[in-house]
Amino acid sequence: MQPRTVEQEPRTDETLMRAYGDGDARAFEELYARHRAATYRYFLRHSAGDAASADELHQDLWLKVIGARARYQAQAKFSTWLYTLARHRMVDHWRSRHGTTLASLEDEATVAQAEESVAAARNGSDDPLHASIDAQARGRLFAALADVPPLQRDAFLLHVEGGLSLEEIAGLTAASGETVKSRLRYAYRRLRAALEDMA
Amino acid sequence: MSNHERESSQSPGGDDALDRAWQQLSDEQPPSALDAAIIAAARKSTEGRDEPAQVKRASPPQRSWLTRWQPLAAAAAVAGLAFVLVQSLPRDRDVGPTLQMEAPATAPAAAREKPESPATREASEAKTASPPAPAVVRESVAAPARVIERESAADTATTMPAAEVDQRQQAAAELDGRISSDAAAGAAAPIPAPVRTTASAEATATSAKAARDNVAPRDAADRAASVAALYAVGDIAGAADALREFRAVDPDADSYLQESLRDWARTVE
Repeated sequence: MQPRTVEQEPRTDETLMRAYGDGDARAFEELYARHRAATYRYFLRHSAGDAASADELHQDLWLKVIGARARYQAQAKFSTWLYTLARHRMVDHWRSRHGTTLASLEDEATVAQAEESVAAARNGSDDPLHASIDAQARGRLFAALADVPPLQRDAFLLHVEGGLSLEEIAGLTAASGETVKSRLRYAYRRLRAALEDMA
Repeated sequence: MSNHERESSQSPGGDDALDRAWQQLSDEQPPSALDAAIIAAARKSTEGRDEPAQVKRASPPQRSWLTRWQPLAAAAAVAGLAFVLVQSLPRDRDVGPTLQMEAPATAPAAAREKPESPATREASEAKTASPPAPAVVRESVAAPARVIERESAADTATTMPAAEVDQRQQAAAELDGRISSDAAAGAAAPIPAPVRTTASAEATATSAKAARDNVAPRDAADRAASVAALYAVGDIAGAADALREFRAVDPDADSYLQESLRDWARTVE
């Protein structure tokens, strides 16, 4: 009875990643199935709905995971390690597009510049989904998120899409717990306001 | 983040309604082509890792096949080489015996071509005597006979018929025995030994023939017999003359005489 119970328990992300590092491709497929949508939306929201950029960033992230399978050590949660890679890739993307760096994201001017670029990308988006009624609400919500400064938006996305806790986000972003909490509070307030406008 | 994790997470902002709305609206998925590309890359990475292992697993049979056949091929090559050598070596050795066995069949023709005529004998004697012998070896009486026997055997092996070979060997044996008996009696007289040089084998064979033709002991016996015959018929003067001639040819002529004539021979000067 006990072996059957062990077999029915889903393997953890860390176990799957180690199995993939040992050559188990099916472990990677299971791991990818768990996180594919979240990481894709993480990039998509940061790109203000730019699907092409999200595709590119998403593919780059998972290719990094594939390339790092032999070096992976389960010292932290897999999701924390995964979103660390995702965030670094996102920062690289910002740097290449707007000349911003991770440190400069704290500057208000840089935040404003990033928000302008995100707004421009949002206005230029011709996703057909935005044409539907549900897409209107989605668009308002996502537009509201796009108006949120990058660090606040990043903290929000790491929480709602990546499922990371405050402590994990703090560790990942090298910020204090209070800073992360204030960033999240700011993001929630902006989005709640957008939902209230819809109602 | 999976949907299960998203549902179980609590909003740090304290707005569960916002979290639910976000979960309902934010449901985009990566394109299937993108998923396929990433899965393919992951599989390829593991296949790339497995392929060398498979190659390593597959390569040993090839090596074992080679290592299994290489010694066999080497052994076959060695066996073939040995076979060729074995086949070639006996052929080389068969040349001598074949000629020896064929020699008697062809010997009569050779004997017919080489009759021992006096002219030929003289020519061979001249050939033997003509070169200045750097080292003339005077052997004992028995030595020439053995040389004659050996050389005549070697000579007749290729040139004479078997009957003639037997006759010559018998004559040589008789001669050898007679000379040996005389030598044992202390009358080993120096005989004009055939000149033996270290020239060619042809010269040696020629000298052997000359020695056979100049059988000095046979002449001495004949001379002794003639002396005895003259003495027996009462021709004492003739016997004395024959003895003198015999002494002129052979200083040890008296030793060839019969015991009964030796007292008379001492009186002949």
